[in-house]
Amino acid sequence: MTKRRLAEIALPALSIIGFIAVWQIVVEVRGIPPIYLPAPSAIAVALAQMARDGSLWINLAATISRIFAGFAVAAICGVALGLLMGRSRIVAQIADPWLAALYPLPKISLIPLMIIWLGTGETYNIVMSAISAFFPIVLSTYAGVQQVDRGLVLAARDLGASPRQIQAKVILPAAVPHIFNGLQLGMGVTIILVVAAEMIGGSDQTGMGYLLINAGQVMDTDKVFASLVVMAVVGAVIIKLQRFIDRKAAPWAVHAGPHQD
Amino acid sequence: MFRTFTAAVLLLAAFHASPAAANDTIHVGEGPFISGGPYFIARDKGYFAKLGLDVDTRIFMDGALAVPAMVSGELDITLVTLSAGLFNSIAKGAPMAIFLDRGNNRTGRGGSAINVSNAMYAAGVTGPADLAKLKGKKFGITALGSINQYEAALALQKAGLDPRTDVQWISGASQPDLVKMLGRDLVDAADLAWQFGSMAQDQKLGPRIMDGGTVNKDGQVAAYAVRKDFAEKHHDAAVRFAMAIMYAAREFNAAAGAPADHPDTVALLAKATTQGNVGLLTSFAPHWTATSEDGLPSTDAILRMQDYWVDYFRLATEKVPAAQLFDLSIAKEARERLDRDHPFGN
Amino acid sequence: MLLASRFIRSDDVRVEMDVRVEAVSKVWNVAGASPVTALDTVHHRFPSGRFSCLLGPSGCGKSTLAQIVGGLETPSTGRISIFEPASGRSAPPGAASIMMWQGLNLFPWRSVVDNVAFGLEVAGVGRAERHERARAMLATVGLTGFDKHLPRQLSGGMRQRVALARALIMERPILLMDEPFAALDAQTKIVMQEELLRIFEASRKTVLFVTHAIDEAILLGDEVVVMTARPGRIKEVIPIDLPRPRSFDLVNTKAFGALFQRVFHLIREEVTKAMAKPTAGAAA
Repeated sequence: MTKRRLAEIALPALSIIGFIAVWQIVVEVRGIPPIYLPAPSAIAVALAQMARDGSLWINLAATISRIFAGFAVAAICGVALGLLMGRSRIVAQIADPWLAALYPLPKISLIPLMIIWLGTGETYNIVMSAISAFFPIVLSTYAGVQQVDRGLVLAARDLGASPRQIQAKVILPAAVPHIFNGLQLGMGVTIILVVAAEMIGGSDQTGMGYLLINAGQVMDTDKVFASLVVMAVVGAVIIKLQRFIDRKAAPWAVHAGPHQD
Repeated sequence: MFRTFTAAVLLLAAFHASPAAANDTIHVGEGPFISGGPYFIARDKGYFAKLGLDVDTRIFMDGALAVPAMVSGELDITLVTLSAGLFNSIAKGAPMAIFLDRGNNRTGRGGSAINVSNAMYAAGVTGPADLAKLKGKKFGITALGSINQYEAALALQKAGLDPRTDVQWISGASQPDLVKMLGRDLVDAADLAWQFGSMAQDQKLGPRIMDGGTVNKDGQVAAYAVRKDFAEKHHDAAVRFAMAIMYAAREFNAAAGAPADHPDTVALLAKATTQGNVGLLTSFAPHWTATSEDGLPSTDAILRMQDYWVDYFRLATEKVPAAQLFDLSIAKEARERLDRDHPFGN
Repeated sequence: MLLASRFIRSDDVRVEMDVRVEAVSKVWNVAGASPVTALDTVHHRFPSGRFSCLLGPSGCGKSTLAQIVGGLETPSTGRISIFEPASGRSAPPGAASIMMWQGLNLFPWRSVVDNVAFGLEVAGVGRAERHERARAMLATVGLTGFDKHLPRQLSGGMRQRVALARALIMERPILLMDEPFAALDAQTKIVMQEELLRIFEASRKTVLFVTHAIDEAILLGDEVVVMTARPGRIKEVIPIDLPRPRSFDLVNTKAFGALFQRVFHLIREEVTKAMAKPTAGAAA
């Protein structure tokens, strides 16, 4: 492992450890009551308890499955619609005002409506997850398609590609950097919305959001923080994983690799 | 000329004398609930003002939200409902203590009820003994660890169930929402404030089957808490607050017992709690909860509740010792001064 | 390193194609401004096997003309006829020609070998076969061993060769080149020009080569078609009868110098005119 690679891993890890250490010391030395800020040690204890009695695993599994299920739905629908909009001006003209109007709407505000329509079961959770991811994905895909270098399309046509082949072999790959960008944005928003939906529609009784709201109701701040830490770690892992997959799938889209000239 | 000069000097002296009568300001957290009746009476009838207090009222729709506001210093005195959340907060260092009664079940004027859905009623859940039939069903409460859940859990236990595992607790909805959920069978039962139980029954959304106060007979429903540093620095103001509340409590309890005889009081209470709807307010009198005139909350009942949440239900994590939880000196001093000085004339 | 003989396949039946440009004009409608006439009534015949250089100032419509011949743009008036002189059999514009673009237009996400094989891929050729043919073509342009590289990992000159290989592999009788060497440094440009000369020697396709560089046009072409500033018309056609095979040494000869002067005078006033005009939305 090169020195630089070592530094890339060690420095963030050290900063996190350092932050936790300072946090612990400050809370102890200054005698901060846990109601304001629990010590990392207390959070760790709460976390261990949640792991031991199983509540951590059950709820984490529920949340993660909802995130991915909703994201998958949104990714397929969003990319498909984005490509279609890029291909057909009519579709783009019809879809554009709807997207422009609905995108800025905070999806959290739709939660009460969704609960009325769908109840608080899995459908509701997955729909909330999908709705939030859908917009950045479709808009990024459409933007990606629009900015495809027309020269590449002409070259492909000149080489004998049919319109369908151009869609699949030129437009889609050329739009990939933008699509991946949209997928990353979508994933980030999905994680937030799934937890929020679980918090508000909590009667379904599972999920990290459900854990959060219950611990919050009884002011169990240790458990609240522990749940937040878990979500932060999960979120970071998912995003990093996504970036890794993006890099492997489309190395040309990510800036890496040697440059000779 | 000399007379004008004297008059001017006297006027100036009079103005200089005014600062001695400057009022103390207290930031108080309250809610639009009838249990806070004595406060509204004390405020609107000028009892606070008479004792030299300016009260700055902040209304919270959900009493649980008042606790963080106190912790942050925004409130000096606030209503607190007795809940697992309150015990957790104080155990974790919230700098407050319970110092004054604000609602108990001792006189049988409990302000809460248990309602069931029409379907459950039809299935035979018509009284306290039938609660066993709620096994596996959904029980609606406003929050986990709340006084509502406490009463409901005790009632279920009495009927032979284990409230920790035998029902599914649906929490997080407000009382009006719980009423609606009852009507739509989204919950099979709910523990509600009396007025909402009446509403549910009247609108045919689910009949009331028992008075929550019967399982929590000497129970404490709510109290006033004071921030510890406020109690130290402004002890006298806290005592005067208690005096005004305790004096108003007498009128409150009287009006609860015979609302027709106290129309002004009822009108002002309705304005603060039922948006002026006097008829609604009188309809569920005397179930307004009662505030004792000696101002003392039932410490035994409160400690029993804490044990319940920590040992049995495990919703609270550690027990707060009584010395940290209560400061009863204020209420006792207030009672002495009321009896000795009669500041309100009687 | 160029093995020009590899261009001639053993069973080669060289297809010859004439291109006839008849009264072609092209008008661009620019939103919010008056229409721009890129080409105004162009007539010319490009016989098979001839290397024609289109020379003119920026905005004179030479790239547009090449694209119209290639079937990538439609003329506003007039038409393109492409036909085999021996049999009179005609082909639609596009099918018989292949373009090497000014910006190369390599697919950045495809490896070198996949770029070169693209035309075969969309034609349905199997993977093994098209990769083999692509590697062979790459060897011909001197790019062995870079199969898996991405275009951005190559130098400018190497990318040129990939673009050239991608075009030549299609074996179409007409080769259109739109200022392909404009972005290269001087040394690489010379190398590429000599390679093109050798390729042309071996294959004798019909070539339309668009350029703004006088020396390049004379070095490479059998004729130089000098175009006017916008709206583009053919000002004059100068035959270049320098002997083939050619090499860069030609540039220092007296004959070259004389031709240069002649073309230079023709084009000078057009360049001045072009500089005075605002640019249109479309490419020259």
